[in-house]
Amino acid sequence: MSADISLSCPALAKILLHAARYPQTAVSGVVLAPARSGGGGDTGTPSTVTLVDAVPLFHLNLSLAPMLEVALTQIEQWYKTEGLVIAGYYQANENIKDNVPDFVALKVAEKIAENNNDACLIMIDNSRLCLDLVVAPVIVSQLTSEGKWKSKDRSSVHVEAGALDVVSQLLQRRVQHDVCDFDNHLDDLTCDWANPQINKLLTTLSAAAQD
Amino acid sequence: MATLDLDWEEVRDQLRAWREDNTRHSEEVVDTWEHCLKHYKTKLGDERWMVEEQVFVAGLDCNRLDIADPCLMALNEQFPGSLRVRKLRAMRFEALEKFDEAMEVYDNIIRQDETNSTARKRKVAVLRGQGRITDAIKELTEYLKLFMSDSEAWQELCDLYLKEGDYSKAAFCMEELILSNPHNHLFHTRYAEIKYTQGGLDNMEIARSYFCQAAKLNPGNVRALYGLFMSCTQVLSSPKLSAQKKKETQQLATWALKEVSERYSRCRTNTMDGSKILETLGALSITDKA
Repeated sequence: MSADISLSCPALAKILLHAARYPQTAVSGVVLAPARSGGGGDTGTPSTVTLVDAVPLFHLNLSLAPMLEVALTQIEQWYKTEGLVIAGYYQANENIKDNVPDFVALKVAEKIAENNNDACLIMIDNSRLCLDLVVAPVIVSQLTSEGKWKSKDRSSVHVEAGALDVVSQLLQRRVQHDVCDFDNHLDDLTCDWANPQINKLLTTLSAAAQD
Repeated sequence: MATLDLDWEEVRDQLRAWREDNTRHSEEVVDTWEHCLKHYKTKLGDERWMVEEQVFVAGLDCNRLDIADPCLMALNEQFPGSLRVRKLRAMRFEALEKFDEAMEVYDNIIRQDETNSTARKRKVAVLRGQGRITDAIKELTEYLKLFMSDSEAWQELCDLYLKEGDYSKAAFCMEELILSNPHNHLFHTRYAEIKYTQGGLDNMEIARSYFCQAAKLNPGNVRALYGLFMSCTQVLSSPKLSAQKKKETQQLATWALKEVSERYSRCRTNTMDGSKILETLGALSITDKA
């Protein structure tokens, strides 16, 4: 619970691109982290939870259960083979000034937390989302021992080096129109909610940046 | 920009199609206007004014007042004193977050023309934009007492109730929509999803029948198929079920899953194996079955 959170470039990119694609509605999704080896018997404080990827879920009716259940089941199943688990939930509210988790966010995050102690609830700070990111526009919360969601201060939330520049570039190039969420997938099964094309693009950009 | 190569007539047709479908493509509208159609506006004839209105709204949506303002001026010149143009002026206030001024203009319009439904609906939009959901709901319910056959308004009300977590009232809105649009599979699906979320055996059985109906109306509706499978599974977990019903529900569930798997294999993409869903279903259910 007192672990630091680290957002990788793919996770941050997909979260922000998803929000940018649907500026007029709320959006939601989940974040993934490597499965903890050693199971639930750990007594030592975990060092850092690295959120390695994200899966955009919905931009319509975030509060309805059936498709959410289908999505979570599929995602869990799909990423199990890669050793990843659902480690949190993100949401961007409809209103630009609103970054408070609503009942949907709290409920889903709690459900995820039942299966994963380090689960985090990420609210996107809409007003800080821009084309030239200086700071990650997210508010990350975790459950306290009393069962309340408490937002972590900036010093415990890290972002992969160079990620902000890369994501700014993507937003400037309007890559958000290529992001697929689960809603898109349900409307057209050929849309891949794992967004491998984004991962590929990110690898290319990071490689280029290193040259 | 690729839009420079576009034929202005193609752009005009595209904008017309978007107007007719009433879909939101604000960024593209602004782009194509700025880089192409703007220079041909005199060639548009009577359609010009509808395009100017469309571009104006798109400009507001993208925070491009530099695009929107000239359109408003042109419309004002062409149609002085028009209530429709006055509504656009109020929308401009909304975009600038001058909500009180916007409300004043809308109230003015309604005073002049009691039958004006768009101004009344914009008032609801203003309240929603301010985050005053309960006030928006109140305003919209008043509106619906006068204009009770407005499907768009019922859908909006359903949305607002869902935002508040009031599932039973949201379900009521969907019932109204289904009554007036019995062949719309999307309404059936939405209704079923709301019933499913409410939970409990009765709601689950209702959800199951509405998912079934939606799938019947449109066999390509993947949400309906998935929903059918999920609701059947939930119904099967109830101890109160008779053996006969159990068998029927099981058959329905199997059929739904088979349909879903078939659709995935027809797509030949990252094929999700339908049977895997069955295995892991129990763990992540979020509905309160209390």
